[in-house]
Formats: sequence, structure tokens, C-alpha cells
Amino acid sequence: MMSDLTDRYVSATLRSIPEKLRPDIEAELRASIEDAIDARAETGSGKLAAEESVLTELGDPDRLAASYTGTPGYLIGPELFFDYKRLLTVLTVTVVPIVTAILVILAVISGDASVGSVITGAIGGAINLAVHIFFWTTLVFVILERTGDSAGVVHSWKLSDLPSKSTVAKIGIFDTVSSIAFIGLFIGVLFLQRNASPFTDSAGDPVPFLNPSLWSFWMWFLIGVLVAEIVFELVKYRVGHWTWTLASVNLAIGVLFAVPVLWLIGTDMLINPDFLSALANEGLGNVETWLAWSIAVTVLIVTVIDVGEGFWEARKSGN
Amino acid sequence: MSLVNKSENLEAHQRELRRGSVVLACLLVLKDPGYGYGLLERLELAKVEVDANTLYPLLRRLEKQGLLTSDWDTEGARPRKYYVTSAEGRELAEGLTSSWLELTETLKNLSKGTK
Repeated sequence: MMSDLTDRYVSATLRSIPEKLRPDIEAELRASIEDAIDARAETGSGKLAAEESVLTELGDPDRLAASYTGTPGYLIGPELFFDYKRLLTVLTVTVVPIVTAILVILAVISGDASVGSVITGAIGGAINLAVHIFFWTTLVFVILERTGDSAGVVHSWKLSDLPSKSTVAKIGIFDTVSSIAFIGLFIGVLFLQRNASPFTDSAGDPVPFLNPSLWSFWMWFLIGVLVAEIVFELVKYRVGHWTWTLASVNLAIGVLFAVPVLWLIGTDMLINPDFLSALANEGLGNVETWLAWSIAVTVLIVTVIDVGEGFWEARKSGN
Repeated sequence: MSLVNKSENLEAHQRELRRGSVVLACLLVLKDPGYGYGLLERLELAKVEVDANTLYPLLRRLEKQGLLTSDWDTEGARPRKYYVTSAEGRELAEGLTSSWLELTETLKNLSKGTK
């Protein structure tokens, strides 16, 4: 007497096979299994032992079913994988920073968000977006893999796709030195503006342009980021060309600088209120908003261009 | 490399080599009609190593490609699906056989050359 193992095995196999193929496959598979059991039982082992070993050798029913239907045992095969990876990379390094930057700017402009909530919001938003991009891109490719309708998507490689060596910008000593000099100058200006101002207060001391209360923390934070930028320039020079890692670090530094500055502008904390009232005394009270906006826009454009350049060059150099 | 690793490595390469030969072996053996398990035994006798869970789906694939034709025999103790190599299958088998022999010749020459 046979146990119900074969029945269970056959129905587990048929589960993922299209209805119309089932009767034929079932009859054939059953016959094959029974033949094998008979043959094995003749050699002396018991019927049950024979059944067990035959089914064990046939293995995972899902695997067998996939083999019958020709369903791939992977999500994305080698045919599509490299296109998938390229698209995923391009989408992630372009869409995530751009959308995150826009969200941060909107949050900062609306002005009623604290720095903590802007930063956590930005990080959360970026992660969320990256997960979405990953999920939807993967889903599309999984479907393409299964429908086999990939002819229009698969990029047939041509020689002209080769990254051209000559356009890979070599990072020269001149660029590095001038960048570092500029950053150094900028740090110097941050310190100097404390003692150099077109306005003086009632005691005759200069009225700095930037809010003096920022020196309790934010100023040092920003100077720290600028110093990190100098170190980054040196590392980049050592490496000799842009890489994806360098571009990502550059992005992080850019965000660490731009986000606090934009937030400080948005909450009216960047520019010294005394400086603004001194301006107003000169009849220039209406430049306040204009001043804030032009700083915000400048910081944003410079950051976006700088970050974008990093990824662009990294893509060109192909590593 | 340890002895175990070495033999595992050899087996892996041998499997790789044999993989392409199973289709040809099926087409050749099935010039005489055969059913699933019977074919498995015949292949085993002929020293063609193939697992049941590879062979059964393969037969259906070859049938779908028109290289085999099939017929149910319901007269016997249990119903069996008999496969036989089609004209198209025989033609393909001839082509594959000559490629295989060529390859054998090439490899023979190569191994002579390196001695």
C-alpha cells in the first residue's frame, strides 16, 4: 500500500502549474514516480522506503514545477541585470538628491520647521524615496524578465558607449589649490566680518553682518564642514579623479553645509538683526528679504552644481 | 587545494561539460520510443548522467520545440506517455553529433599539441 506522500508531492508540484497543463503533467509525473518506486522496491528495500527516496531525489516540488513551466528561478537574470543596475544607479543619484533638496528648501522657506525636523525629514524622505525607486525599478524589471518583452529595453552595447578617457577630468593641482584657497578665504571672511563692518553700534564697536549668537554653535559647525571640505579636496587630489564614493561624500558635505544655512535663513537667524536695523536706519529696510533670498539661492545653486559635477564626472570616469 | 575540494571542482566542471550533451543523448536514444522512467534507465545504462527532475521537464520542452512527438499509451498497467524523436529532432541530432565530434577532434589535437 502506498502512503499519501506521492499524492502530496504531486499536488504540491501542480499547485504552481497552469491549469490546462495539469492533467497531462500529473498523469506523466505519477507514472514516472510509480515506475521508479517499483524499480527500487524490487531491489529489496521496502515500498515506503523506496517512495521516500524517489521523492527525495525529485526534490523541491516548486523547483520541479518551475522547471516544467520554464519559470526562471531568479528575479532578474543576467540578460537584464546590468541595465537594471545602471538605471537604478542613475535614478538614485539624480532623483534622490534633487527631490530631497527641493523638500528641504520648501521646509526651510515655510519657516515653521525646527532644524531637527528639517534634517530628520530630509533623511527620512531621502531613504523613503530611495526605497521607492528601488522597489518600482525592481518590479518593472521582474515583470520584463517574466513577460520576455525586453527587446525594446535591453540596451545593446555599442563601442560608442565606452567612457572616453580624454573627457575624464583629471583633478589637477591648480583646481585643488584654488578650491582650498577659496574655502580658506571664506573661513577668513567669517571671522573677519566680526570686526569689519560698515556700521558701528552706540559704543563704537562694529556691527557684524552675521548673527553673533551663531558663534555659540552654528558658526563652528559650518567652519567644521568647510574644513572637512578642504580635507576632501586633498583626498580628491590624491585619488586623481572623481569616483562614486567621492561624489557621495561631496554630496554629504554639500548637504551638511547647505541645509543648516538655508534653515538659518528661513528662521531669520543668519543675518544679525542689529545689522538689518542699521541698514533700515540708512533707509534700506526693504533689502532684508532680498538679501536673505539671494544668499539662499546662491548657496543652493552652488551646492547643486558642485554636487552634480561630482556625480557627472564620476559617471564619466566610470568608477 | 585539498583533495576534497579538488574532486568537487572536477565534478563541477564535468557537470558543466555534460550539460549540453543531455539534449543530444535524449534525441539519439528516443529514435526508439520511450517513456519517462524507462528513458531514465536507458540513459543510466548508457552512462549519461541526468537527474529525473531535469529529464522530465526537458522532455516536455523538447516536445514543445517540435524535436520530440508524444503519444499516450493507455493499454498497459499504467498510462504512459511515449516520446519519439521527430524528423526535425533527428536532423538536429545529426547536426549536434557532427559538432560534438568536431569538438572532440579539436580537443584531441589541442591536448596532443601541449604534450
